[in-house]
Amino acid sequence: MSDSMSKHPNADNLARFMLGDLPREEARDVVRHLLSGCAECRQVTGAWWPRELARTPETRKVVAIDGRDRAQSRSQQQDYEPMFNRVAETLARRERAFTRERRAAPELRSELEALPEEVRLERAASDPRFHVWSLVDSLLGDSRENGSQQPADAVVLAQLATTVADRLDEGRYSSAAVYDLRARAWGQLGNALRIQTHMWDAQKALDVARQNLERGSGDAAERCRLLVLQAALYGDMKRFDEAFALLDRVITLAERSGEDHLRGSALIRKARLAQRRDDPETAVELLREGVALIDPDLDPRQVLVAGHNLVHLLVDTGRYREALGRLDETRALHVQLGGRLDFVRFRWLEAKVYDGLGWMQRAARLYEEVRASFIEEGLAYDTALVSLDLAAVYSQEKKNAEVRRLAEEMLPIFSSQKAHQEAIAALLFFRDAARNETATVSLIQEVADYLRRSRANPGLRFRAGATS
Amino acid sequence: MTIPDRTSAAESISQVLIKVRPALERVLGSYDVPPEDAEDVLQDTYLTLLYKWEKVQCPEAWLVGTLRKKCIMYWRKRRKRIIDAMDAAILELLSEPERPTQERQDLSRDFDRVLGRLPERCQRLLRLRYGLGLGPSEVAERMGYRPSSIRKITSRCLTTLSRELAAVGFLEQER
Repeated sequence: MSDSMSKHPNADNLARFMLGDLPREEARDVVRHLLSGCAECRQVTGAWWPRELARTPETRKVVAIDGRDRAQSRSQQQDYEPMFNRVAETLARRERAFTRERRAAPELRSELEALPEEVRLERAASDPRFHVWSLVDSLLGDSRENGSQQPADAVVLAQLATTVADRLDEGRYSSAAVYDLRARAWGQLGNALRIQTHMWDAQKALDVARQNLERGSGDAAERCRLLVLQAALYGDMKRFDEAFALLDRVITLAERSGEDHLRGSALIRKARLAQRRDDPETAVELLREGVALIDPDLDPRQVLVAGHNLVHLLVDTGRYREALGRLDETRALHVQLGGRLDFVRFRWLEAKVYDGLGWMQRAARLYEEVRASFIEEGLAYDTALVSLDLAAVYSQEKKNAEVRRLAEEMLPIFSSQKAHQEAIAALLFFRDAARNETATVSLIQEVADYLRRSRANPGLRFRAGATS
Repeated sequence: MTIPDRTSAAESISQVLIKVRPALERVLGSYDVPPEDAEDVLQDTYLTLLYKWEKVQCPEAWLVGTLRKKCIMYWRKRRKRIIDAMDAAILELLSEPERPTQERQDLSRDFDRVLGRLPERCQRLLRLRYGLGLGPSEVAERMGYRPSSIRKITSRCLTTLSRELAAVGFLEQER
């Protein structure tokens, strides 16, 4: 018998080793002894071996299994009553503290925002008074709200949120919840950076979010939210296959955990990707399914945007009757939730529906109204586009003088907005055609199509007749 | 959207906890988390719900699901602690140059005997890790695995080795 075999570690050391509490030197002796194959000590360590986890084929859920008969009756004999009572008391205490914290949060937020911008981050990091959950929550809420309207502000708020979240005391809250919140803050920062098209930094922020999430509660909804943000980034990077795969995972996860709202969000995101992939038919189906699952109380703005986009897609795919059927509902949402400009865009959409249905006068009246609003707002591209829609209606009605008027008025508006030369060339081409009374509907649509595409790609060259 | 009043939220949490308690007891029982640790697991679950209350759609299902996940994570963490300790100890034992020759030979023989009981793939991987002292990327390269997957494979092999040493054992299996 070798020396290592004969020197048995004591039972306490074996147990501490199995709990990961034994100092290194002693742990090494235990392992050396186990390597020698001591059945007696292995019986002791075996009783401490963690339960095995396996997925059952019937429920597909992970369950704990144990082939050995150790402590099998432990759970049956367990009296959880005192434990549940103690935990409920702790919860009540923490809840009271949390209420106080929430009440104090607005004041802290004002104090932080009163500081000069250049010292705000530093102060948020160094002053422990700011290291509270409710402040992170409030910053994140506003960063999300600002998202597409004021993307730069959204980034600043999310940076503050991550700074504070990273410094939250895990002992004061719950460690899992803190990691979830950090994941949410970094996820929001990643999303805000994506909207500002800082793709590399956005990916780095989402990586940090994922690392935090791995240490969090394992909440499927949190995971889904992060996957949706990653998919949005992939979508912007034109990595469509990866984006679709992530969203499919979200849909499966959300379905499994009964998170309908999240499933709806993922379907809406998928629809947006399908639309960008020039697959409007699929986009319509996905959007229709997604809109039905969204909870308006959780995210009213999303309901509005999704409803609006659905009408838009129905118009793009020529389903004007169906679009008409959705106008009232979408209008009501705009009135309730949308801004002034959102409503103008809705009116434009409405005009397109009438246009598609052949209700020319109604369409022309609305196009005129929308055009006036865009001119008032100084939105040159939109003014040009709606003017072209209107010109197409007039062209069909053989109102050449009206077409010419529109063409003459468009150029000065557009030129004053520092538009790129190619876009101006396209409008000059249209003006000349209008003067010659050769501005057909297809020519107008060609110019409009070019303007739409060149908006996202200013380098795109205009070639008359390229689409014919 | 309005922020719900916290008093009513607290009342709602208490009601949910009363309602869902039998299900939580069943989860704790089925995962057999030792009582000394079960309280921490349960408390962490409750507190997480408190801070995320407004974001949770169905608190009952959330509590049961989260507690189940935490129980799973509890056992995974426990297992990881053992595996890390086992790994560190074996690396140290096999790299000690000052050991007397006889002891080194005994150790080498014992180690070979344990490895001989593991699947072929794990034997190769662990020999590269412990015998030649190669790092994960070198092991991946030698064995033809992608660097991204070597961590998972190594972890599986270390688990198998640790289970063999501390739980299943090999002497009983010897014929």
